[in-house]
Amino acid sequence: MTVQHNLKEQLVNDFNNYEAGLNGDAKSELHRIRKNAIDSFAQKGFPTTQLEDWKYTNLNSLAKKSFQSNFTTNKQPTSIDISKFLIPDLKANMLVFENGWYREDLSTIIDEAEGLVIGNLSKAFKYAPQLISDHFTKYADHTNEAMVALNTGLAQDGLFVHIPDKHVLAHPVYVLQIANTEKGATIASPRSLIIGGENSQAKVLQHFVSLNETAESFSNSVIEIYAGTSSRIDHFIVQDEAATATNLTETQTYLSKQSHIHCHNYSLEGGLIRNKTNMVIADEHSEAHMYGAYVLNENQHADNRSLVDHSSANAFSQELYKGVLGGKSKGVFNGRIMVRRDAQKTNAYQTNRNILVSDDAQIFTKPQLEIFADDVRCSHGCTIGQLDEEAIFYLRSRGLSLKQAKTYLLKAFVGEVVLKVGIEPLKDYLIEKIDEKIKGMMV
Amino acid sequence: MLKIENLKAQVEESGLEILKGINLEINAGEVHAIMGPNGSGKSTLASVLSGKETYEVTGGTVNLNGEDLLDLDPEERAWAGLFLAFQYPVEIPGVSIANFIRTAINAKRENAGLELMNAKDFLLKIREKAAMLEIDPKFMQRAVNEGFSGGEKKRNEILQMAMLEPKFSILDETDSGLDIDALKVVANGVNKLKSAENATLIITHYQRLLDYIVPDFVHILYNGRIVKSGGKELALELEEKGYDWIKEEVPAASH
Ligand SMILES: Nc1ncnc2c1ncn2[C@@H]1O[C@H](COP(=O)(O)OP(=O)(O)O)[C@@H](O)[C@H]1O
Ligand SMILES: [Mg+2]
Repeated sequence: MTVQHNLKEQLVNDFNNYEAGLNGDAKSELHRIRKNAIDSFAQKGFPTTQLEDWKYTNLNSLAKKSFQSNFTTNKQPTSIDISKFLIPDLKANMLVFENGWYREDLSTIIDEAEGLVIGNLSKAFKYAPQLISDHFTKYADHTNEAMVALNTGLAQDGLFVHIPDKHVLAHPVYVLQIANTEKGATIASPRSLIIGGENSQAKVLQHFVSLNETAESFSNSVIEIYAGTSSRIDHFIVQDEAATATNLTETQTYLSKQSHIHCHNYSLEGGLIRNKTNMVIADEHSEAHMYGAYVLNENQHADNRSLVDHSSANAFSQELYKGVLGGKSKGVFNGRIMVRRDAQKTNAYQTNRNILVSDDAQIFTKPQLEIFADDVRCSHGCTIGQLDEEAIFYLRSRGLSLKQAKTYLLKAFVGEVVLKVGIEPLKDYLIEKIDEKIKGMMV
Repeated sequence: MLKIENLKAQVEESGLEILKGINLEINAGEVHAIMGPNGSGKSTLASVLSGKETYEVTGGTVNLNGEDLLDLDPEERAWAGLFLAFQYPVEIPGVSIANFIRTAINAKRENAGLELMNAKDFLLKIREKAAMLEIDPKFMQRAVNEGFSGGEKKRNEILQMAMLEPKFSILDETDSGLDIDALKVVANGVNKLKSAENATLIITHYQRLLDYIVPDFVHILYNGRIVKSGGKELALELEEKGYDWIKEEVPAASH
């Protein structure tokens, strides 16, 4: 019998080796943060299913496999044909990341303005020290969350977007996050920091894809979004990776006064997916919107969790997540709404609807309302069901075959969420992808 | 066009017999009306004709233009030219009326091996039909029946009928829930769609609609059987005497 690998020890060792090779940089504030984060990860280890937050997502077998950490960027980047991943007709500022590292050679930035930065973190560490020290690691909690800690310790690069005050970004930011495992199983730590200044507006789309599926990829991603006063940020995550991929994504947002954040999440392909979206309502008259859809088949697993933390009064939040589950797939939805004592006049709504199209598919859905203020309006609704027979008959009576009728109804079911996507080419792309996938599920 | 002989059907689950031997023959170019009190089996007849699996046919035959209808799946019946305007149309959030109708047209075309209808031709056609039925073009972009008033649902059914151009249409209580103006619009549409090649079966329990769509024949369905047939004057007689007249007469007639 071979000795079991211990991924935690390996990654902590990798970090120590990397640290030993640093010169003066080891004394930097940035390194101090990373060191603290790795220490915190070393102490906690990979989350286990004992933790309520990880009850349904088991990382146990993953934690016994070896994954290359990549502390340094490839000096001679290999050429990658990204054309197959692109979203047709999307005109955008495009940034390509390979295993979390920026590939400037493959990226194209089209919008320019005074104070506008659309680029990568390792550059921002040097050239935007004030913004970094004001915002970087200020929202995602690397002292309590092991996977956030691991990301914070390992990430050397990532996305950096700063929208200056009063600026409305002309084109979306399109981030292509490529998992490349041509050198074997690899762990990547995609990191993002998006800062919206006062009265600014921007749309950011992160598209997770796999270049190959010969070896396992493990993407442990953390996204921090700060919305300044009266700003609006739309953030989209599209997960479309190989069946051999694990994708853990933590999105941590902060809403200032009168700001709006819309977070969308679409889980299409990938083996093991877990998303955690935290919205912190820090000031009044802000709005948090969350939309998501997961269309799962075969042995796919997708765990979607959210927490809306209403810590300020007079704010609004709503969430709509829908799931279609076929094959032996497993879905999880856990929506937590916390209304703190001072958050009077809060309006918070949440809906999660699921349709199971196979007997072997499973869904665990749970709303969690924790309300400590008395003058609030909150509601939630979770449903799990099959397709409506009356509706199927209605469509068949109009000439759709049984299979067409089911496919059509499922498309319509998910469509309710996808129609909220405010980037037209992305909406069309998602509709087509989802149609394709649903057709494949109807066997 | 349509020939129903001694049709018997029961609720699949409970075995409750609802249709107890229906006979009816409808020719091309004709409009027939079936009237009868609530619970007499009118909607069940419509459902059985369109192939709803909730009901089990226990006897009899139905023939549409030479084809044995009872052998076909619901979609095959639609391809054969059957159309049912539902008494209670289903809501389908997330789908526009236009997209829904185009999908239906193309499903039929695909089955017939015909070229699919392109967006432009479709638009021209639906605009023309909508104008004929006095329907606002914006209506077609709304989600199918979602939050519709009774009148809007029925209008949507008639629009679908106009677009799908069936040979044989069944309108189940298309008048219920309509105010007089909506009723006139719907009736007007049905009259315009009438031709020598198609036929219509109107199900209603008020005679009101028949003021606007004049039937060639009227049948009275009671307790799962057609107990009386006649010309359009039968509807007036029924209106005058009320359903109690039938209820009193029938036990004698059917025992
Ligand atoms: N699916 C069903 N299950 C049980 N009873 C049914 C079902 N469908 C119809 N019925 C019964 O059959 C009778 C006829 O119903 P229906 O055809 O809807 O009448 P109508 O349309 O003439 O008002 C009613 O008594 C009704 O309750
Ligand atoms: Mg009825």
